[in-house]
Amino acid sequence: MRRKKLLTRKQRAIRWGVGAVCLFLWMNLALHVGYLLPVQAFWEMEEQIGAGDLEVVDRRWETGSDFFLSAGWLSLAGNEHAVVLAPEQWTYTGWQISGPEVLICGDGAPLHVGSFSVQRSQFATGAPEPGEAWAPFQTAVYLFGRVDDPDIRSLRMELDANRGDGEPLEVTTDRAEWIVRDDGAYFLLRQEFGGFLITDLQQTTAYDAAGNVVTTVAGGT
Amino acid sequence: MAKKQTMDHAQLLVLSLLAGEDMYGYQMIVELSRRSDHTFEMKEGTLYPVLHGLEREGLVEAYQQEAPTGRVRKYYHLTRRGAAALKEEAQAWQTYSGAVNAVLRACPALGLA
Amino acid sequence: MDRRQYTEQVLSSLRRVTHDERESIRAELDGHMEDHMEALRELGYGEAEAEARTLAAMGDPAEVGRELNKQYPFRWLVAGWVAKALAVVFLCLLVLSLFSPGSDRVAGYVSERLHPSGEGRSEITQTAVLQLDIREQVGDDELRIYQVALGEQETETGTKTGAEVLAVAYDQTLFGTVSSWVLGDMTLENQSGTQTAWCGCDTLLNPDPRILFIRGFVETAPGDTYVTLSQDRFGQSFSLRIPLPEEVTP
Repeated sequence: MRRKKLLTRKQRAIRWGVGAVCLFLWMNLALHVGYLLPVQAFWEMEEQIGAGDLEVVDRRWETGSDFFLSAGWLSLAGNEHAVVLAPEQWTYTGWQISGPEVLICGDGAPLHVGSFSVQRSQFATGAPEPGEAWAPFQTAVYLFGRVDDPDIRSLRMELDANRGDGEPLEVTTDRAEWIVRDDGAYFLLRQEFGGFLITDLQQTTAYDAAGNVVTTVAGGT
Repeated sequence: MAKKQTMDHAQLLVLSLLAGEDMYGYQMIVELSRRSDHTFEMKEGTLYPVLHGLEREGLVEAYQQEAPTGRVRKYYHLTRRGAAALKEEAQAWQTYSGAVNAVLRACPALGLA
Repeated sequence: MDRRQYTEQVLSSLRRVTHDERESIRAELDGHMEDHMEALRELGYGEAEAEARTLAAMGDPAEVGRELNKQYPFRWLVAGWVAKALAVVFLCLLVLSLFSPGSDRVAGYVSERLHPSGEGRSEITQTAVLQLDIREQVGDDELRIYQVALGEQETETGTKTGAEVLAVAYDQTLFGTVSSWVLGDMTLENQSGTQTAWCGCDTLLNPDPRILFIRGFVETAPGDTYVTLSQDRFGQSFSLRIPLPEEVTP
């Protein structure tokens, strides 16, 4: 006497639903893919860095470029051990952070600076204004970090770029633009330059309120 | 007026049949007719909407079983929820029909007392 | 009308049923009518008479069909489609992710975690090897040094003699994320402190967030009995002494 249980529509639908949820949880927890929320990618990055919980100080939406950075959230975060710049991108396997920039702090330095550049084809951002030259590429340079010394009021950063004239790029910023927290004043700057530039942070000079040089830091810390 | 039951009487009868044992469709028709002394002889096709409705509501569940003759039949089984619903509805019916009977008995013209 | 036509007419009223559901209802109705016919045959009725009586007893097929149709509304049918579609999408994502870089098969991950093997990971010509099991809890991760070997390594500046350390690191929770910044970038130092070298994980080749395959090589002097593996970053610091195997004197 063989028996075979018959399921109702509702029971079958629920079983498929449970199966889908299990698959999804397996993907997220065991395989670390398919993150539907950007914060899941952020938590994974926090664990990979191993500096503990990072406070997100600034988060902005960046539109895409052709090459390295597709559209997504750019987050600036940190704690007493590190300052991190993390691009969160949506891929077909969910939210991902590939390649955060991490500055290691904790050595008592007054200033931590890093740079990050993204090349963008003009076609991605639209046609130039009338009268403007049709430059095939633009480079967006991000400078980020934290100023731990309260005397420092402004910074001037020099970047080496492979431009024909050999002139370094300069970016300046002052405290009004910075985000102050308990552990220091965070900053995230973005400046665009024409051309396809590979930039290298050469030197950062820090000035106090009177304009005197407080410290000079070579390279990205 | 006393509350009429929420379930129609066909469902109530089917549930009560299944309270004793699991049955398949035709078996229920035969049994119903036998127990009610041929008073209830519903149109046999209309049993199935009732059964499928009860299945959908979770008051009965179904399974397939192969008979020794090789015929495969769909049997229905009363679930715990179904048993509870049966008890509740049967009680409601008793109350309702008791009340109707009482009123009718009190009517001298009917001579039912 | 015959039995088949009766069933077809009932089924024609069903508008929101799957193929399997339709066939199941057909089988149930056909079976019912067959049972009734069987009973009538036993009473001595002829085939045609039995069928006519059975059909009469069944009732109006249009009404039966209409009532039956009411028991199959859209709701759970659509819910079932949605659930199935989601399951298929997730299955595809899962398959896709198995091909993207950095996601190791689960079986490989679990086996390396339980029994790390030095298969193919050593890059030196070994003269002596020692299997170990030195474990260190670092934050919420575990560092596990499982092999140290003495031997020679080819470099651009020539052949160097020293000690090679192999280790794995993983989160204490199964399938968790391990810190590649702390455990994938450490320092090896020889006994006298004269030589230091990098010891860590080449994350470009192994971007699996769950497990790190760590390797380091540092020059040692003959007669050295240990090397030191250390780290001091983000408030996590440790210094582990790793014993060296005894050289087999020929």
